Amino acid sequence: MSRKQNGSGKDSSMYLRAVPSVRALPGRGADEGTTSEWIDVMVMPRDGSAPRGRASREPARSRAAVYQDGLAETARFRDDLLRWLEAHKLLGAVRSVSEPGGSLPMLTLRCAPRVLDQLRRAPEFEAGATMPLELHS
Amino acid sequence: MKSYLLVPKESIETRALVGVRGTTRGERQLQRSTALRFTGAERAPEALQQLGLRSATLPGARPSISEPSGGKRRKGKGKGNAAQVAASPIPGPVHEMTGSETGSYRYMPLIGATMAHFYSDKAERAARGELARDFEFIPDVVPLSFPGPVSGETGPRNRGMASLAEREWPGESGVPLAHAQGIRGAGVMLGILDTGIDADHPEHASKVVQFRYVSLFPNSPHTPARDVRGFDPGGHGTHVAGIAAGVHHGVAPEVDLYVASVIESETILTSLGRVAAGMDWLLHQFSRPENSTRPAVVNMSLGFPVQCPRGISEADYLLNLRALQTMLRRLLDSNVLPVVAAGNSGPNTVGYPAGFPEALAIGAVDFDRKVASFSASGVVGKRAVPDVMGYGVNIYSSSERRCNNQAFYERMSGTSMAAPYVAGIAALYRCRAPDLTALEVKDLILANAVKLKRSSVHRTGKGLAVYR
Repeated sequence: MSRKQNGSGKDSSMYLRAVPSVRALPGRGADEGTTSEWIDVMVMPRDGSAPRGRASREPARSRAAVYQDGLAETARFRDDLLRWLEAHKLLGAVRSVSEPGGSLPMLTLRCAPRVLDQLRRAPEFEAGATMPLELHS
Repeated sequence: MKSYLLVPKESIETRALVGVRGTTRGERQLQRSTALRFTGAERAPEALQQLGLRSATLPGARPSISEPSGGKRRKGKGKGNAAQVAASPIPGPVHEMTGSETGSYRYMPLIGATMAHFYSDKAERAARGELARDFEFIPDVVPLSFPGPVSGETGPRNRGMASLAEREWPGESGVPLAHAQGIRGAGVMLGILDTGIDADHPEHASKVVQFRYVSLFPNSPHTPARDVRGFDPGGHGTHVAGIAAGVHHGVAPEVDLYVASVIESETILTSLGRVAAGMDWLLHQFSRPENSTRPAVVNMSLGFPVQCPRGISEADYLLNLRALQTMLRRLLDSNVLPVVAAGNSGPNTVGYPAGFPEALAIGAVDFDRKVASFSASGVVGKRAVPDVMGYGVNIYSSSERRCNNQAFYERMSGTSMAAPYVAGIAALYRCRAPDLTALEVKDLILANAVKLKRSSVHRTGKGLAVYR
């Protein structure tokens, strides 16, 4: 598999700095080539498929119905993503995927940085590295 | 309640046998050649169980032990001077509370002792009658304290059970009134995403706490999320849960707790993936057939840093925000009210999820209604944050027990503490009027807030959230 790093450019180079086991780009210092092999990536359907705007004042559907719809939507999304990964021969670069059975339209991957690079170019997905959150104490 | 450490009277030194200590459940096997073995110590948990005490013994297999070479039960196959004895279950794994227990106990096989808590003198007398001949009943009354300075807005760390006499929610909060009316949160589900909860703390031990531990790598098959007895190595989540739902000090002591541990206590950091996994679990629990029509509230005392962290691109930042906002929308769509802390970075700083219009963002005031200096506020687009204030300075609540099962309470400050206060208020409203939607409850809280004096630097939203 080729290691394409020339796509969206700036973002992917940022990750390479933090990934030691990935070969550094030409011109990059040797000391910058070493950290973790895998990165955590959040993938969502491309914006526009999910409803926007403030939630309605009254929930039109029951919680169970919302949950069932969420399960079905996430299962479809998960299948789409796995098919896409397989089609792009990237399954070997993915260490783990969110467990099936979720109801939120998002999946997290633990994968090699090039998977994120490829996902960013895919029109049907929106992907990015997960950020840390902190306690407000 | 009286607590005792039950230790066999026989000399430890004379009973110590060479053996192997370890666990057959975990990944590690600790090989020790000098581990202690306390013959007869197991009689205490067995007797206590028969007397009707609830087992709080950690689940797992009894450590493998070795018998001395001259032991009568030696089978002769082992090499050297010890023969392995197969691991067997520890007597009395954790049982849920039924309300009819006469006490609880935790057997600690590695030190050959049993910590027993008796809810009545009768239970204690029965246990003494059964065990006093062979076991020392050591009272667990030694006050514990932590070395090091206590400064700033932190209060005394350990005031033991004596603190239960103090119920410090002021009359203006409406909490005493609600409790007097019998409105204590019954029937309402409260979800908490935090460091966890000490389910055996006296504030929480008498209720069933649904708990899920989401590991640091939630997707890894080696560390799958687990439903276990609630634990909290950091204490933050226990404090938050105590404010909202503690049976002695909580605003809504009768809510049903659903706690997902998603934050590493040491770093107080978590990832969006863990929060998403915890949120998914909450939605799953709330959507079960028996729960799907019950009112619910979720408390999140966490958020993204105000500034986009170094090394994170703008695109990634926006995607993370979108994911977090999607979670809040799903909560509202599911008729669950999300209550979030505004943040502790002071005025003119607003983080997320407080900045999202779906959230009920909470700032902090002290008991004199003065805005806490750390309370975050600001404007995101046209939205002013926070929406409403809660008590968040020197709040007295449960903390994790650090040794000897002693009940710990401590004071903490932060919008993390203000948010569960308001989550508790929301639970009281939802208890009184379960047919109201999450947004209607939000409006009710905003409409009933007590106006606060204008602050030159802080925004205070609609004022102090109270129950009316």
